[in-house]
Amino acid sequence: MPPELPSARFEDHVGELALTVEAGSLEELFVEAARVVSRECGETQDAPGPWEKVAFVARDRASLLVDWLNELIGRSEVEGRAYGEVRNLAITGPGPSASGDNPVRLEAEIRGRPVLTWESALKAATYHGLELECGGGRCRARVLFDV
Amino acid sequence: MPQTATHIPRDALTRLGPVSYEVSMRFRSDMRVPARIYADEELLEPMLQDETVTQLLNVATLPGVYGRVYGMPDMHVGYGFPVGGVAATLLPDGVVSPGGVGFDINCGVRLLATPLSRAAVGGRAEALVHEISRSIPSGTGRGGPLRLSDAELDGVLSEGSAYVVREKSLGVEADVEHTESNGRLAGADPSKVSRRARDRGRDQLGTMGAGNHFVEVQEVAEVLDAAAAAAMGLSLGQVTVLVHTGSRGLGHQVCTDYVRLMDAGLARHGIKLPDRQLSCAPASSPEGRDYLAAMASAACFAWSNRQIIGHRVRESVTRVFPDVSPEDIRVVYDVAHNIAKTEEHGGRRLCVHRKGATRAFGPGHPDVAPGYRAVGQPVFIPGSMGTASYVLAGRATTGDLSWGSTCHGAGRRLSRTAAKKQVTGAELRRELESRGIIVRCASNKGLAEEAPFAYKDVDRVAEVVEQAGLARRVARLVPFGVVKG
Repeated sequence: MPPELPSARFEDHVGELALTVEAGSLEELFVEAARVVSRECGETQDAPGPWEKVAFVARDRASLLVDWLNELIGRSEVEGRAYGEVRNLAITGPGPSASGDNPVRLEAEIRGRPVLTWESALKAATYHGLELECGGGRCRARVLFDV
Repeated sequence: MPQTATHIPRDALTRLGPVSYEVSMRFRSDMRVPARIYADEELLEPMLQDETVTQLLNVATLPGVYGRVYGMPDMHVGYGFPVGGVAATLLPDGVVSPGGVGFDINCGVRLLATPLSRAAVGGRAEALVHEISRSIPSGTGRGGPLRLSDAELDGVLSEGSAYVVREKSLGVEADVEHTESNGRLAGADPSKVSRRARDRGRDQLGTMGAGNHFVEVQEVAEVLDAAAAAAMGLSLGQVTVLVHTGSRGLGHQVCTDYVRLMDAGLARHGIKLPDRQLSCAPASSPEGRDYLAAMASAACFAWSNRQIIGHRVRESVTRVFPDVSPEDIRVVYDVAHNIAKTEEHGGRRLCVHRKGATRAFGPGHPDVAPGYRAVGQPVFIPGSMGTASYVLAGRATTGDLSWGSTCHGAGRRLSRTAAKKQVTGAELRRELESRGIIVRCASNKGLAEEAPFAYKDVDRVAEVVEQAGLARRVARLVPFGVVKG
C-alpha cells in the first residue's frame, strides 16, 4: 500500500485558528506545516529567492514545531516571501520527553517566493492546546494560531 | 474535585448579584484566588459551554496573583488568558505573563469627535468614507508610506505618541493629553525589542492591519448622560470616528519572543502552569523586567499608530469638508485593550494585566485627564459593523470591582469559519448598504468573518457593564461608514 500523503486542515475556533497536520514522519510533518504557512501568505511570483539556513533548539519536539512556525511567519512578513520550499531538514536530539537540559535541534534550508498580495491572517503559533504525537508510522500535530 | 476540567459546571458558580458570579478558590486546588465574572445569564451561558471560564480559573493559578481575577461581560475563549480577562499580581515579585497581555500589545480604540452633524455631512458621506479608506493603508501584513530610520523607530518605541506629534507633525499636543498614559508607557526600552520585531513593524506605523481592526464613521444617536457627554464634547447627531488597531507585527513578535523565553525559564523559577501559553516570570526577574520594557515599547508603537491614523482621519475630514478646521477635530480619548500596567490599588503596587479589557478609572482619579476628572475616564465599547458602539465613563466603584477595568467590546460569539458559512461578504456588503452603511473592505472574505452576528449583543453587554458598576453609559453611537482592514 502506498504511504499516506501528508495532510493539513484548519479547524474552527471562536477567536483564533487551529491547524491539524499529519504526516508519515516528524520531518515530513514540519515540511507540510511550512507549506501550509506558505500557502496562507497568498499567490507568489515564480521567482524563488536564495536558499536560507535556519537552525534553532527547543526543549521538546512540540516546542520546536511552534518555533519553526513562528520563524516562518516572522521571516515571511519581514521578507515578503512565502517559504514553501524546504530541504535538508534534520531534527536531532532526544525523543518526545526531552527536557530543557537536553534540547531538540532543528536545521533546515528554506526558500521563499515573493508574495504578490499578502493574504495571511496567521500572526503567531501558540503553546495553547499544543499536541504532537508520533506512533504507528504517523505523526500528528495540532497548533493554535493567533490571527 | 476537578483539577483542570474543560467545562465548568454551572453549580461551581455562586451568584452574588444579578450580574455577578464567583468561583471559589476551593474549586480547584491550584487556584490561588477566587474568580469573579460579570455577566447576566445570557452572556454567561456560552462562557460555560467552552473553555472560557476554565481559562479564567487557570489565570487564578499564576504565582503572585492578588485579590481576585475578573471576567468581563464580553469574555470569550482565547489562548492562555481568556479575552476579557483581568488579573493583578503583587509587585515586586508577582509574575508578569506576556500571554496576559496578548499578541497585539496595546490593541485599542481612539474616538475622534468632529464639529459636523450627520445632517451636515449629508450626501458627502460616501466621499468621506472613501477619503478615509484611501488615506489609511489596511489589510494583512500591509505596510504604509512612512519609512522610519533606526533612530526614528527608537524615538517611537521610547516616547510613543508625543514623538510622532513633535518630530513628524502628525497631530497636536491635545491628542497626547487625551490618550491613556499620555500615549507612553514608563520603562519603555527599545533595546529589549528584537531585530525581528523591529523589522516586522518598521513599515507598519500608520496602518490598520486586518481582522477585527477598523475605522468607523458614526453618528451620536443617543445621549444617556448629558453631563458626561458635555464634558467629552459629544452631542446628539454629531459625527464621530472610532479607530481600532494596535501594534501590528511588532507587538506580535515581542509577545512571541518573550512567551518563548519565559516558557524556557519556567522550571528555573519553579513555576508550574496549567497552560504553557500563560508562561510567565517574576516581574522582578531579568526576563520579567526585559519583557515589561519591550511591552512598554510595543505599547508606545501602538499609541503612535493610532495617533497617526487619527491624524489621517483629521486630514481626510478637512479635505472633504474644507470649511472644517483641523483643530476642531478632537481626540475624545484613546484606550488600550491589551496591556500590563503598574498601578496602585488599595495602597498596593500591582501589575494589572488587561487582556481584552479597558482601564476605566472613576472621577477624581489622578491618572484621568484633567478635563475628564469630574466625570471619570472615557471608555469605549465598540460593537460590530452595523450595530452600535458605546461611550462610557469610569465610576468610582470600578477600582474595587475589577482593578479599575471594564470590557473592551461586544465579544466574539462565532468563529470566523462559522460566520462565513452564514453569509458571504457580498451579501453582507449589500445588507449593510441597504441600511445606509457605506462599506470599504478590500476582502469580501474578511468582511464576512466580521459579520455583526459573529458578535454578542453590544447593547446587552453595555447594560451589564453599567448594572455591574464597571462604568456608566454616556452615549450610543451608530455607524454610517465602515472601513475594514
